[in-house]
Amino acid sequence: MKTENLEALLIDRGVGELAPATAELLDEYLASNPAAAAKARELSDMLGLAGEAMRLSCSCELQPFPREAITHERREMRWRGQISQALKLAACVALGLSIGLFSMSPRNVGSIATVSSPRQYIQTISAMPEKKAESASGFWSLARFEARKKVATPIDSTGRYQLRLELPLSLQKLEEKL
Amino acid sequence: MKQLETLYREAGPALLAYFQRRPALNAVAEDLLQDTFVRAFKQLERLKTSASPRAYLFGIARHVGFDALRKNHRDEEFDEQAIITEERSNPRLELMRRAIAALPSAQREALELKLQHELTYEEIAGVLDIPIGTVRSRLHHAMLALREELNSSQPTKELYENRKS
Repeated sequence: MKTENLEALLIDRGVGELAPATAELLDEYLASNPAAAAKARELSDMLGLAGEAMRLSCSCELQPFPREAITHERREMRWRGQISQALKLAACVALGLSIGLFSMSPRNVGSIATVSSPRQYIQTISAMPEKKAESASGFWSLARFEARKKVATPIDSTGRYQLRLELPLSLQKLEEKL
Repeated sequence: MKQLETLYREAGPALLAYFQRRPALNAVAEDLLQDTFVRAFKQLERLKTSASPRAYLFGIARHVGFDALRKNHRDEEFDEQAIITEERSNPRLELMRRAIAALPSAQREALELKLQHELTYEEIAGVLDIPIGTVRSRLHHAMLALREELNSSQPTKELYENRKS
């Protein structure tokens, strides 16, 4: 066996970290090898001496258990937890409010793509700066929109065709009568 | 809380000794012990679920010690005077103490946890936050260094003995 391996095994055994089966094998080896046995004795003596040198020599008079400090710490921990919860809640509320305000803000002025009604479209268009003359007759021109509006048949309730909102159920009944 | 109190009774003396053996922390050892348990309370769940609560407490104590040293801007130095004033009857023992003190702090720490506080390799690995193999190699190197130191100091020892006689 190599000296380094032997020493490592002897130290492990000396500090009680060697598996019993390995310790048995090591004992057998030491019994058949006097030089290794001498080394084992030397290391064992040294471990004993080191243990003795590091022996506890303190005035181990324990003070009472720090119950008060721990109670204080517990209280602080609870406070810290509550404050952290409150901060999280406040952050959520602030986030919600900012999202709400952002979505309600009149940021769509000037945008044609997002207008929802013709009236709003006209307002938007009129609020926009004048474009070039050639675009006045273009596809998206105001003049074209106005012309289209005039041509379109207005839908009213006094005309020949009247829109009636009926339930699908009653409509079915009507069809049956016909 | 009761569990912590039991641990205080069981591991308290060893932890107190752990602080008292460090010259830079000796004066505040009791305060540091209390700090250790207050900190342990903060991590009570981890303490409960740890494989070895005693080793876990040593880990906390180690950090508490580091914090105290950092706070006082002090390095962990070896107090030779403390050893000289201790028993002088056995020169070999005195030599060994000097040799231990001369070890690199990482090796000395591992040796101390093993021989003084009787923690297992696994527990020491947990305390020092290093692999078990590293604990083993540190201990082995420490032991070999001690042997070398003792063997090289043999003439000094003989001189000491002759002077004494």
